[in-house]
Amino acid sequence: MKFIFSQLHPFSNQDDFHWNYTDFKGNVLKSNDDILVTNRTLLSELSHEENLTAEKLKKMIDDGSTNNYLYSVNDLISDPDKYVFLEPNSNMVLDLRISKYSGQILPIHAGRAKQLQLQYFGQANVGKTLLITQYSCETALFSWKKDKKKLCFRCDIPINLPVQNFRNKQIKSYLSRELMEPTPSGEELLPHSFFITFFDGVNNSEILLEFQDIAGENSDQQFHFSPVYQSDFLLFLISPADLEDPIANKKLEDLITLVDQTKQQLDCENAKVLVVLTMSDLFLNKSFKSEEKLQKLLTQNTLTRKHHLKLTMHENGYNMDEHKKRSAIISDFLENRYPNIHTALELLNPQCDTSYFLLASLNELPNQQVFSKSFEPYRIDELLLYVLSQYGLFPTTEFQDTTKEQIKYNNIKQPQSVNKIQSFMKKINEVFLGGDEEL
Amino acid sequence: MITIFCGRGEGTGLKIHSSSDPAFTEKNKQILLQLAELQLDHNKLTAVLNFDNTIVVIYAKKVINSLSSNPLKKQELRPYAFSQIFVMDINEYALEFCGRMACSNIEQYLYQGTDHPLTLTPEQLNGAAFLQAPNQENMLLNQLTTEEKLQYAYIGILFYEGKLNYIPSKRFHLEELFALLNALLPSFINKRLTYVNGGKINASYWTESVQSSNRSLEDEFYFCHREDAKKFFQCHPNLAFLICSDPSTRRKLYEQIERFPCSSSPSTSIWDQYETVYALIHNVSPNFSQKIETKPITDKKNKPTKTTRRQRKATKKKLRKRQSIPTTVPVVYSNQSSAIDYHKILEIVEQLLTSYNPELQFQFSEQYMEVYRTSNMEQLGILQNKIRKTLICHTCNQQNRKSYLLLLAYSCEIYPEIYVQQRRKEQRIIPIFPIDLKLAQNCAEEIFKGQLYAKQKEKRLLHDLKEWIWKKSC
Repeated sequence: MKFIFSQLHPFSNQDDFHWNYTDFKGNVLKSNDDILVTNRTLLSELSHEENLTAEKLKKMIDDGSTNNYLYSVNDLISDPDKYVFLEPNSNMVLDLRISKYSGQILPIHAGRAKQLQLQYFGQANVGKTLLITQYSCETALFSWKKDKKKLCFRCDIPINLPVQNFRNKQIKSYLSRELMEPTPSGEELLPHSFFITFFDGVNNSEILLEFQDIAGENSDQQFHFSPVYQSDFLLFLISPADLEDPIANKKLEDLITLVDQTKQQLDCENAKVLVVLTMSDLFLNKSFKSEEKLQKLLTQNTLTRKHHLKLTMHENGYNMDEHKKRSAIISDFLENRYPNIHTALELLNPQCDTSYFLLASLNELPNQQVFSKSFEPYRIDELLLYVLSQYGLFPTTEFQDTTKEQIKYNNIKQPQSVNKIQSFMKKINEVFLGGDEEL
Repeated sequence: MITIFCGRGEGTGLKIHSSSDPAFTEKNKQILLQLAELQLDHNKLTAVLNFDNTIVVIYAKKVINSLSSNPLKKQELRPYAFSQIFVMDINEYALEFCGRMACSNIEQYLYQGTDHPLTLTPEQLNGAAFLQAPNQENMLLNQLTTEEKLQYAYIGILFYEGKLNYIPSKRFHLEELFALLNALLPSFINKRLTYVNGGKINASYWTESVQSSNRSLEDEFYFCHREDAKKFFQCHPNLAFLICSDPSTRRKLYEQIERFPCSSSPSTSIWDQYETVYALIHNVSPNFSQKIETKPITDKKNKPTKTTRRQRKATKKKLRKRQSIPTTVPVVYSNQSSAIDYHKILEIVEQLLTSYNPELQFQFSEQYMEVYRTSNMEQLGILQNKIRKTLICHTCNQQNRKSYLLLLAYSCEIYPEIYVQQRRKEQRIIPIFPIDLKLAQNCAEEIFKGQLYAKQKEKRLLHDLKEWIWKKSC
């Protein structure tokens, strides 16, 4: 401990975050002034062995009853990298950061890496929670290495928190291969944070990707209440039952129109729309027999299971060609069969193409609330790899060619503009000088 | 009473499916939905909550849907909580509901289906089906002696005043205990007798939790609150009389007191008010300064006078006629069930000492455990002392060596509290069967007094005793 704090210096004013961090209630945290710090022992004393949710913590902060447990940063000493704080009187190490405004415990890399938020919507029983707990449990799938390029994907929430989480219960039930309980509304809503680092041989780039798990019945209330933030992607999760069941279909349409109406309030007009059809193994059902193209898509999986899941299709990088083909087929399917849903989705962001995905987190019907040991999830990687590839955090096999084309196109564009000017000048010459004289 | 049924079987999230009073449910929809958002530990949850004199009873069970023939139909696939919520007045709860909640097969009288599809009978919707369950209050009251009634009543008073948190009882489970307290005390006590059993209710209405303790509720009372109880009932003799009276008359009397208009100053406690109002109604002057000698309550060592049958009959008659009752109210006091049959056990002990039999051993341990369960620690101590004395009177042979070991072990067993204290001081592992070894040593010394090789025999016996305990604890 002495060694670590031998290089300590009094806290300086350069306490701004490298990147702004938006907490789950939509408050933008810019510097160390916006946070409080504590550690695990203090937090466990504060919780009195009870469930401590962010809401309760916020109430306690407002009351002022947390003064001995949560410290503001001004009186503390920090190490050069500002990762850990030290209380000078009691020599206590404080390493957990909490948002002053919402009571949320911040992920480790909050403010240290660029934050990318995926806001997602979906009715109850679509598989929102399952998909995201799957991401946090199947991290082996995304540890990728090719030549000198490396991708590392891991959860960014501080481990061994003394706070009882509903999420831990969900993770436990996924690992024991049981179906999860429905997510309760009003339970503490810490975002699922993932820290992703990509080393492309020369440079290292990092990103903090955040999903916020919401209860199904709350997904349409999200606009009216606080969590309003600048999200980079709007993700819609739709299950076959949502499309086929007439009541659910109507509800889904309402949800999409609601998003459309309050898009300005969300401040995400440029957000890209992603549509995911979950439980897609159900499309092999008899009632979809006429959709041959769609059913053909379901024959190829991108993953294999040998002890743990492994990439096969996108092993060398994200296959953009394949993605475009598949996206077009799914889009056609929706357009023909459910035109109301399709048009509503397309109109959300007409300037940008919407991407469609097919996935099945379990790829089988669970038998008596338990799914089998060797289940192979169907293409759960595609969504995440696509998002990463958009930010240059994952190579694309097709992408390199397109960039070349783009560069070519750009190269052509510039002479074109020059030509335009030249032709314009020619016209002027024709009008004013009346001849073919060179300029 | 209003009944409301909530669930998420349709697959479109949590919903209120049907209720006996639609206007009420629409008014309080948000709160009801928050209350229905449950997390069950196992398969069922019972909860009683109080909101300004309206009691909300929640019974929830885990539902596991079987897959329907059409997987494309929207439905909840995951296990979820289906809850039945009853909203009622506090008096209605005290009269009709609380006693029935203690019924062991209460689930039979509740709706057992799921909300997908909801097949309710009109009786179930009204809550009339629930009222067919037997009321357990009288059955519970009959188990208690008058002294125990006072003991449990005082526990209820402590709960109400927030001086004691709920600890699991040796004798009753949670619903039974609260039904008993409801039967003994006025109905307003139910404001504090709220609980969530078997899970967690979201929403900030309920934050208290059951505390874990080494002791049972009865032990906690015996070691910490017995003296206070004695003083309390000396100051409140009329209340003590009310608690010990007939259940039907008691309720009427409580109602009569509640209806009586009185100018109460805020400083006096509610129990003092009950005391004075009862005295006013029945022309009894409240006497707050009575001495211990006249009326012993819940203290078993100093039992100077017992009330005779005639006296008891007389008090009952007076109560029926609502005549004036003298200031020194003789508390009805019987000791029939709590008395130990020392002779029976000592007979078995003597039989054991003459000839060892595994059957006899079994009989002895069963009898001893019954004493342990039913009586208090002092009585148990007396019994242990008597066993030790008989051990000293007899001589230890090789034939009765086994029974000697057994009896010595049982008679030197430590009381729970002392055991716990020792465990705190010396942080080493003590076998599960805790024994006062010094006492055993003294006893062994006296057994072999005046014999040849007394010290060697003593050592051997103690060594065997330790081995015996070790085997028992393993």
